[in-house]
Amino acid sequence: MVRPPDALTALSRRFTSPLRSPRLTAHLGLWLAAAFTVCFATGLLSHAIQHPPGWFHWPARPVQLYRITQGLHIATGLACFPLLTAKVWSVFPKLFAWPPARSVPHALERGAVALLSGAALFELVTGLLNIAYWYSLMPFGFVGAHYWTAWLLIGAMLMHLAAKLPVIQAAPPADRSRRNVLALVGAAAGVITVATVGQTVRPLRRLSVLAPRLPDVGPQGLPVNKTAAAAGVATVDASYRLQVSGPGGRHAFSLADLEALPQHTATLPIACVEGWSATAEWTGVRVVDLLRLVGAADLDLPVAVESLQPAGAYRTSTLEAGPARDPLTLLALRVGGAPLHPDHGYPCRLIAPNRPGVLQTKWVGALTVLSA
Amino acid sequence: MRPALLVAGLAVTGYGAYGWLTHDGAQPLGQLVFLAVLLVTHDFVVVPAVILAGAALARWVPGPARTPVRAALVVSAAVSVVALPFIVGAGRIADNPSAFPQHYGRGLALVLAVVWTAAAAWTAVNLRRRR
Ligand code: HEM
Repeated sequence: MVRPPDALTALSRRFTSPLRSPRLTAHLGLWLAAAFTVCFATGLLSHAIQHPPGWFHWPARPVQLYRITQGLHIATGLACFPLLTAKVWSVFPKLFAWPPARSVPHALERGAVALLSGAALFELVTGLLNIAYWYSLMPFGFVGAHYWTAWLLIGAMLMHLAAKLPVIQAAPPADRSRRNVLALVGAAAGVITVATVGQTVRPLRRLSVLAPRLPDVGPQGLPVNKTAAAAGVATVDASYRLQVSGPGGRHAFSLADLEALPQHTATLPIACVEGWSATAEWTGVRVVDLLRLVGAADLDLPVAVESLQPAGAYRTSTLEAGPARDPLTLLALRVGGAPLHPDHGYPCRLIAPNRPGVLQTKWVGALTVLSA
Repeated sequence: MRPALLVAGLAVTGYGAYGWLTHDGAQPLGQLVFLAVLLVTHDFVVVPAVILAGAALARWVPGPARTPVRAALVVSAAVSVVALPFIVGAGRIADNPSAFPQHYGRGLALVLAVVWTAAAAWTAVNLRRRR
């Protein structure tokens, strides 16, 4: 085998920081493992809610649950940037170990490390680019690549744990100088968190000078993800009808018809997949009241919610049977007492508890009771 | 325990690799290049830069300021990475001012000002203690 020049192999001996040690690395590794587990669990949950397999049912309560899990996903992920760099810094001399592999298990171990670092960087950077809408830097579709790389990351992490378990178990508690390194990394993560988490933790809003969204900024004091113009929804006129169909028939409601039905008010958050959230007071018709008019109030059937927008991945969404009949699930006509701004879904939008924002369908044109 | 972790790890990695290459809309080449560029840039540019900065600091920054400056540099670098895509603002949408409503360059400058003021105060405390 060709040996690299001595200058390179001798390089590792020149990194002399006394702070590097197996115990520091083990601590940083466990922090990262915990953070990645949180991101993976909350990410898989978000995926299951949006693409539910047959066995998966997402309840309407607790009202705030999705807001918390997805807020946690983004906040935990963003806090990982300094952790990951510190982790690699703590093992940097080992990257130049020679020979690169002593045996097949050793080659597998190093391969797992490379996959783990690569996949972790991939997840953090694509996640950040996505919440900044910087899609042009990613030569692939975000959601699919981010989802599947998460499996690679967790697989590589398990293999890495298998390899390093003895080192982790032997590592004594951190001493003072290592604790200082951990405190420094924690401080960096903490500053990132404070600077951004106000997008979902409203009291920190003023401190979060880097938050991608502010819960009170937007039309009617609420952020918007897709405007009416971007969705291709024209201004709705008097010819608007909401079509509601079910086993008991089909009804068409004008906006005046909807306003004449019993109105209910609910305080519910819009909780975006991108980690921001904003709570508002919504007023409108209960979906279950509309279902009653087509004979479906007591049936155990899901409901398709269809938008007036002509195209797009989020043009329709499905309300599961239970949540469709939840008293807090509304077809909202108003927010904060005023008719919806076009960008919030005028003439009416779905607003339901514990539901990702992308499924809170705007500009609703039809509700259809599905057969199964 | 270790064999179980290894088997689980291999299985999850295999499942991930299969999906990574074959999912609807997969762009394996683009994904691979992106991953490789990140890995090489991080491990062989960013981390060495951190190490060099640390070495420069140990040589040129005097004792009482060394730890505060090191801490401020680490925090500044980490926050700057997260702020960068928002400062560049490539994702801004003309008709949606509620997306990215803040002035992110100013936001970062503010965070850095707080961090470096804290570092200066910390240095002053160290100096006073020494006297
Ligand atoms: C800076 C860090 C991160 C950010 C900003 C971030 C951001 C996001 C966003 C915005 C979504 C929603 C996608 C959508 O439904 O449109 C998402 C989903 C997801 N994330 Fe992350 N993420 C980060 C780190 C991670 C990490 C470290 C993991 C894995 C350990 C992970 C695993 C997932 C998974 C499995 C999904 C579900 C994707 C789907 O719905 O198919 N994320 N992430």
